[in-house]
Parts: sequence; C-alpha cells; structure tokens
Amino acid sequence: MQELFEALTTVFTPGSELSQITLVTLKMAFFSTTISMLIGVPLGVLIGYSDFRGKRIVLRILNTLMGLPPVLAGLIVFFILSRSGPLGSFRLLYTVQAMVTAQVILITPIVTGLAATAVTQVVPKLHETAQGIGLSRGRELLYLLNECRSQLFSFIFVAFGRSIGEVGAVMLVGGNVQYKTRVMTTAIMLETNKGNFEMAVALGVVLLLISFVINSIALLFDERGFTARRRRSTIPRHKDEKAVLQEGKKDTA
Amino acid sequence: MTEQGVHIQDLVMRYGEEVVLNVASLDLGAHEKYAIIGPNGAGKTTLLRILAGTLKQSEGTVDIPSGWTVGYLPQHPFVFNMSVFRNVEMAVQDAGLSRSEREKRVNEALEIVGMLDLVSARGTELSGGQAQRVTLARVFAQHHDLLLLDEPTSAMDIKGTIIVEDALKRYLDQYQATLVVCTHAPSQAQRVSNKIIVLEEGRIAEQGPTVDVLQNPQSEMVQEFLSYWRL
Repeated sequence: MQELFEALTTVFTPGSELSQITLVTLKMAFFSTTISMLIGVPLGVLIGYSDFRGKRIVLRILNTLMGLPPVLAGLIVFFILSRSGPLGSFRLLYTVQAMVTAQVILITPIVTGLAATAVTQVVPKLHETAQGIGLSRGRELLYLLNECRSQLFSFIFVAFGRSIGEVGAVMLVGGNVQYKTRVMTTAIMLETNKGNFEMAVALGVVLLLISFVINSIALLFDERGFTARRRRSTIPRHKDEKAVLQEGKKDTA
Repeated sequence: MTEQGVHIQDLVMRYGEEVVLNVASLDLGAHEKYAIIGPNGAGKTTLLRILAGTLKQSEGTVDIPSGWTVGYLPQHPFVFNMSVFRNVEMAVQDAGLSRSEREKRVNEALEIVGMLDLVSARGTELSGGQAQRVTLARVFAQHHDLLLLDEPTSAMDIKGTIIVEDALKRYLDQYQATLVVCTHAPSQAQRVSNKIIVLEEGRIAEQGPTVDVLQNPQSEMVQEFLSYWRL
C-alpha cells in the first residue's frame, strides 16, 4: 500500500522518473491510437462498404494481421529502422517514433477489421433501402457512417487499450531507455526482473488508473456527442409518444 | 395493354446455371394495382428488384415509360437510428424542395400511414410494424409514378395490416400511382389490387383480374396454391 501511495505521488511530481514514464506512455498511446484510427477506420469502412473482387481474400489477410504477434511487428520495424535497414539513415531506432510505428502496424489491422465487420453487418439492408429511395452513394455513405458512429467511436478504446498495454514490440524497438523510451509496461517488466514486485504492482495500478480515466473521458464525449442530438432536436414530441410506442410493441406480429 | 405502362419482354434471371425468373412478356398498365403472389422462391422479390433497378437481369428488357419515377420498398427495409421525421425526410432531401415544402411532404406521408404521433421517436424505439409504416411513408413522400412494395406488412398483425392497406388506398387515390405489391397472402391481394400475377418457379402461372383469378383459377398449380388459403 505504501509503495502504491508513493508511486501515485511520484506520478504527479514534475520531473520524477515515473511522471516521465507516464508522459512517454501517454504520448506513445495517443499517437498510435490516432494514427491507427485515421488509417484503420476509413480503410475498414471502404472494405466493408465496397463489393470488389478479392474482398474475401483481403478480409482473410486482415483477420490474420489482427492476430499479428507483437514481437513479430517489433522485429519487422527493428529490421526496417536498424542501421543496415532501408530507413536506417533516419536513426529512428530506440525512439518513441519507432515505438509508435510498431504499434500502428499492430493496431491498424485490428481497427480496420473491426470497422469492416461493423459496416458489413449494416450495409446489405441499408444499401437496398438507399437504392429504393434513390439516395446518392455519397449520402448513403454518410448515413452509413452515422449509423455505425457509436461502434466506430468505441474502437478508440480498443486501440488505446491495446497500445497502452503493449510490451513486446515496444521493448524491441524502443529499447526501454531510461528517460527516453521507457513506458509503463517496460518499466513493470524491469521492476519485476529486479525483484521490486511492490513497485511493479504499483506501476500496474497506475497503468490501470490511466486507462480508466481516458476511457471515462472518451465515454463522456460519446454520450454527450451522440445522445445530445436528440435533446437538440427541434421536432416537438407528441404528448402521447410513449403510449403510442408501447401500443406499437403489442401490435407487432 | 391499357394506358402506356411498363412492358417486360423475354426477361430471364439466372444465378449461376439456375434460372430463377423467366417471363416471356408482361404489361403493367398505368394507374393499375397489381399484386404478385406465389409460394416462397417463386421469383416475386427478384421480379420486383429488377423492376426497381436494384438487380440487373441476365436477359431481356424492362421498359418503364420515360419520366416515370420508381419507388421501391424492400422486404426488410432499414430504419435509421434517427427521428421518424428525419427517417422520412431523407427521401426528399435531394428533391430540390424548400424546407417548408419538405416538411409538408413528410408530414403528409406520416399522416397517411398514421405515424404523426411518433415524429420525434427514434427509429430504434419503434416496433416492427411501426418501422414498416415509417419506411412506407418514406416511399410515399417521394410521390412516385410506380410504387413497388415487397411484403409491406410482413411484420404486422391484422390490425397493422389493415392500417397500412388503408394508407395505401388513400395514397393511390390521391396520387394515381401504379402499384406492384408482392404478398404471400391472397387475401391481401384481394384487398389492395385489381389485377394479379401468380408466379410459380419463376414463371407466370396465371394473371388477370384479381377477383377472377382468386375465385376461378385456371391452372392446377394456382388451384392448389389457393386451396391452402381457403382452408
């Protein structure tokens, strides 16, 4: 308990190693999540919405990549960024950028696959309805995004959770360099190896707290952003709306 | 052929090797009310989808008079997670109407199907029957010349069915559209149509005035199909 209290105190102490680790963790998770969402969501929507030759094989590849072992992703980035690798001249190995790159390789297929699945479930019925009333493809796509918005938004949690908890790939390409690329998970590993189990557990609790706070903020945005649409609606509610809805439930065959 | 309407010639639809629809010739007169009936898998939905243009036939031609607009209500239409009003309004969003004209159209359509009480309810809050009425209002709001409805009351009990059939009659009286409705219920065909087409394994088994065909079917298959209805 004492260790946990100390760990929590040091997180909020400017300049301490733990606050530095927390900042690097957040920076890495933020960029990995943002980039993965920016690539994965449009790509997944496009794959789910379009009907093209080879779609099944694309989905199969995507499903395979969703289970890509983190160490393998790390190894690929390691080879690309190592001195003899194609991007070696940029000297990015053992930097946060390298860690973000490995994370993006890991998370983007997950977001893409989830987005494609979410959209695929809605598309057939929506597409036929849209065709029936002559909606343009652009409008159809907008309505589709609107329909799946809540699900697509929830992928932020998946991406962030995956990013903040990743250890294998970031250890390989980040190197766990003190004050530079050390993140929560690699710090936990280090403390465990040193036998500082209390500190390792305390770091784990801090990691969970960070995840909890970020998820809560995101959920707040979700609720405000999506349900407020109804409150802002200018269409007046009929005084008997609830009763009519109940009546309708009884009438359905 | 009465007034110029839809003409179908040598229509064939294949899925792989299997022929699912084979209509040598069919005329649908303007302002008439047609019901397409037949057992499951007879090709009713396929014919409707080809007429709607959402499915391309393998062979043959479908001539729809120029200037006609076609509205199609699929068997399982989609109700969006937005207000009932917005669900209907989307159908007239690109019609070049002013906001007040749009609102008038939407309210008119919702009034016909008896859904004005639920304008602000969300699509996800509706029962299956209410959702079908909203999707019908969506097609009504567009004022089409040819209305294609695929099992428009499949999620409703008899009360809901009668509400929708009355709405349909009111709409057709008001806007003089041509109606083609697919149904598995001969009783519904009798109530909403004046002409009937009976499909069997993709071919027209019989067609003619609804009352004549239902009361005095000529082909054996239609006699058998209708015998279940009379039970």
